[in-house]
Parts: sequence; C-alpha cells; structure tokens
Amino acid sequence: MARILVADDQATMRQIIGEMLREKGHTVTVVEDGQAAYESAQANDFDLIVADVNMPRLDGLEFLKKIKAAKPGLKVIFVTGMLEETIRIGSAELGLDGLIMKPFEKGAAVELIEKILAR
Amino acid sequence: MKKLVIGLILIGLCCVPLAAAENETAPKTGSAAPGLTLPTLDGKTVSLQDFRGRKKVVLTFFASWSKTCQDELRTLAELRADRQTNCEVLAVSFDNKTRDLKNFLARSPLPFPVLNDRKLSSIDAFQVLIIPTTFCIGRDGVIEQIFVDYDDNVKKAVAEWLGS
Amino acid sequence: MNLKLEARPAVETLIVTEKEGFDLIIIGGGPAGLTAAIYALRARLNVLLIEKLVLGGLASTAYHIDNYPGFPEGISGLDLAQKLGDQAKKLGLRTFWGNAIKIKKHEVQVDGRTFHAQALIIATGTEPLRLDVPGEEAFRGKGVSYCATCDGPFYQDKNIIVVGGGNAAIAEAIFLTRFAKKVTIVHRRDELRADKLLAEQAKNHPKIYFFWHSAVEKISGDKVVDEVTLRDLLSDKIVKVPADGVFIYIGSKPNSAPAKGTVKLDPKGFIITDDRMLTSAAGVFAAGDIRVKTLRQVVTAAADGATAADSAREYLTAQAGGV
Repeated sequence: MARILVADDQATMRQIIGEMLREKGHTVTVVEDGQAAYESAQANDFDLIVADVNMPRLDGLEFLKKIKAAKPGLKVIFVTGMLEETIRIGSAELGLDGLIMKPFEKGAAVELIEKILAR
Repeated sequence: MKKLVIGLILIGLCCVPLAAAENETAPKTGSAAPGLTLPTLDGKTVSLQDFRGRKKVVLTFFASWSKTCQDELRTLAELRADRQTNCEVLAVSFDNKTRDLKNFLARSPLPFPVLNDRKLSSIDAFQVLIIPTTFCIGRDGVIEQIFVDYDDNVKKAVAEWLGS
Repeated sequence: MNLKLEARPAVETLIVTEKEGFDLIIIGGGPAGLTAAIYALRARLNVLLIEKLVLGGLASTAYHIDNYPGFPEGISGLDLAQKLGDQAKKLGLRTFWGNAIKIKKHEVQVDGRTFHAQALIIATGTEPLRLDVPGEEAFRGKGVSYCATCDGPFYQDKNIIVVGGGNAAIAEAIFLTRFAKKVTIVHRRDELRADKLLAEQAKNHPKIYFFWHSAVEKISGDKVVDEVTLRDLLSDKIVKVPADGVFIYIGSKPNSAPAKGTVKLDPKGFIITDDRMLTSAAGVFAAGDIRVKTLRQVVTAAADGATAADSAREYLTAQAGGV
C-alpha cells in the first residue's frame, strides 16, 4: 500500500482521484497547487505523485526536474487535459513515469497507477 | 534563462484567472446545458438543443473500449427501450478511430443516437474529466443531475429520474 | 558530452484519444531532420519532430567542420547544430524527446505513445559500426570510444589507438594529438582512404604512428583498457600493443530497424529512395545518412531534408485534393 500525493486545483478531480486510490488501500494526501505539491513532496516520503500539469504555480517541466533531483526514487504521473502539453512533458527522457490525459476512465487510470507503483 | 523565468511568471498569471473563469462556466445542476451538435456514424447531425421543450435527455460521454462505459450503455439501452416517447438518450463517443466505434455498435447495437466526437470538441463545454460522465437534462434544457463515473447507485438514480 | 542513450522505462500513458494527427512527423533531429523541419514549418505544415538524444545528431559531435559551405573558418559541430536547432525553434518547432521504436506508414511509436501523421520523413541517421571483437563491449566507456570530441580529453598524455583509414578516423586521430602522448592509427590497408590533405597531415605528424595492413583481434585490460592485440594481415603475425584508449572509426550502420517492413532497404539496411526522397511507401520519405547515397556529409543531409520536406508538402497538397 503506497503513500501517494495528489495535486490538482479542481475539487472534483481531487475528490475522484483521492477516492479511487483510497478505495485501493493507498494513503492519499491531497494539495491544491504546485507550490504546495513541491513543498509536500520534499517534506514527506511519498512513493508517487499524481499531479495536474496545468495547476497554478506549477510548471510541469521544472517540477519534474526538481523533484527527480531531490527525490530520485519518487515516481511522477502527470494528468493533463491538453494534448499539446503531452508533447512537451510526456517523454521518458524527462524521467516522467506516467501520463494520464483527461478525460480518463477511473478503472484504467487506477490500473496505470498500480502498474507504475509496482515498477 | 531570464526570459524563461519571465515567461513562466506571465503564464502563471494567466493561469489563475482562467481557472476561475472555467469554474464559473462549468456546467452544473440548475444551469442550462451547453449546446452540442455532432454527427452520427450514418452522417446525420444531431443537436442536443433540438430536444428542448420536447423530451428529457440522458446525455452520456463514453469511449467504446471502456468496460464501465459499456455497462452503462447496456443499462441505458434497456431503460430507453422501456420508455418510447418521453425521453431520449444521446451517447457521445470519444473514440479516435471510427472503426472501433463501428465495431462496438455492430456487437452491441444501441436504440438511441450515438454521436462521434473524435475531435473531443465537447470536452471543454461539458467539462468532461472522467468517462463515463452522464448528464440528466430536463425538457426545459436545464441540467438536473450530473454523474461522474458509473455504478449501481448511478443506475438506480438514472432509472428513477427517467421514471419521474 | 554524453552520447550514451540510457535505457529508460517507457512512460505509461493513458490517452483517450490523440485529438490531433500531424501533417508531418520527422523522425530524427540531425541536420537532415532539422532542415526538413525548417522547410516544412515555413510551408506552415503541422509538424512534430521526434528526437532521442540531442538536436544536431552526429554532426554535433564533430569537433571542427571545415567543408560545410559558407564557413571559411570552419565551424564546430556543436555550433552548427545549435544554429540549426535555433532556426527551427524560431519557426515554432515542437519536439518530442524519445526513441522511435516502430515506424509504420502513418504512425510512429515512441515511448508508449503512438503519434499519427499523414506524411513521414525518416531521418534517423547512422550509428558507428562496431569492430565486433572481444573486449569491445566490455570496455565501452573504459577505454573504448566512438567519439573523440566526447572522450578525447580523458586521455591526457596517454597512448591511443585509432582504428580506421577514412576521413573520420584521420581527422579524429589528428584531433586526439592535442591530448595524447602518442596516437597509433591501425588500418587494414596499405594506404588511407582519407582525403590527401588529411592523410599528409597525419603522416607528417610527430605524434602519429601507423600500423598498416593490420586488424584488431582483441581489446584487453583489467579495470580499463591497457592492451590491444593486432594481427598483421599479410604475415599473420600477432602483435600486442600497449594502449590506454581505442577509438573506433570504421564506418557506420543505418538506424533503420524501426522502419523495417515499412520501407524497402538495401542489403546493408539503408533506405532506398528516388531523387525526391520518396521511399517505397507512399507518403513516407527519407533524408540524410539513413538513405542509400554516395556522399554522407552535413551538406548533403541538409539538401535531402529540404527536398524531403518539399516532397512531403506536395504529397499533402495532393492528398487534400489540391494542385
């Protein structure tokens, strides 16, 4: 059972993602913006971050670089609604572990998350 | 590097107001449903607005590969078959390949219009974040219920709403 | 500069639908790919470039390019690559960083993603040929190298062996004399294939020695390379030569595996095209070193890129029903 940080500025998303992961027995912490996400990730020991790339105060690339440098074992999944974004941030070269595009199916998203946790 | 920082700050500034605006125009219960006009696989065009003043509409957004969506569509097919006149179901597919949608409908024909939104044009207006997302829209075109994801509770609630 | 591509697990992706297909996907961001991008972007096509390592490709590893037209003082590979990249970026180039594992007629699979396009330009270039001798793989990065610009500085005052007889081998051998105590060129033949100018420079250089009609049998050492075993191809005699580094410049092999089955290749694996850069598959073009061609240089790669982009543009117009 993993410790997961969920970062999203939309309440609906926070609720849905948080709930679907808690249903699977994971411990979930939820934050609302990029700065909080970065601070929380630094201060605590998470196994995984699921973050919306289009949040205020979060630049996906910068976030990824900083997090991977500070916590190399921490896995990162980005969630985004913009296909254009996925080109900019969606490559393995950046160290990204997973990419979920909205809209997604809950079941498929959970499967993807657990697959990455198991890696 | 400086240019990048300035650029990021500008983008940051733009993001906040946009997010707020998005939430204001986000469809919610009690508000009028946004417009929707899409083609079926036969090339006919169907508009959500056409049903205003005439029928209740269950509007659902799905992808043919999703088991959850398939379950919901099956239920909606049953419910629709029972009620001939006072309601309609509109199913909007996000399948990228029309072939996939065609194959799915060949296996599981549906007694209501299935609209093809390959370009995901309805996502923003209806704020679809999860599939399936289902809107129960009254005869006056006002959204009465929104269901994100699908389970037995949603099944019961939609059946009840259609019956009332 | 690190040219090694570390294996990374693919990005797990969940994408409901690729909203957008591109007009053109260019695979490979070297001079061929970048020039194609420049021409395609100027034609206002919707372009995606896929690159696995660095914009500029192999050209960016050349220490000094003296024969690219327009630069009387020559230009470093890195600078030329930088300029090409900047020019493309100025036009709005979008790059996806990843290794294309499969190239089909209208789609490219990269890192768990599939991108779709109406037309493709394959500009994946080549990678250095291996000697295929014992010790070569084991000592890679520990004395064995394929890039003098990258690794030369690590061999200050050391003994270096350079294998090969063409322009690359000789130019890099001369380059390595800046660092090495001694550079020995090992070549299978009795004379160099390199340009006469280069050959003369090498032969007259006090730090450069030659082992003619010789081939490398084995590379050995403890933690790093300390010795190379050579066979004299005329007498069959074996000679063991102390060496701290072995730089291999015996040619290159095409990065065409992902396109196998989609386009026709020649027996060596290079992509067959006509003079409009069109491959055997409609809408699929190739440019640069990856093609069957006689001269593989930055300038010919750029020319191919421009032609391929123009052909792609024509193809797309025809597909759209235009003229």
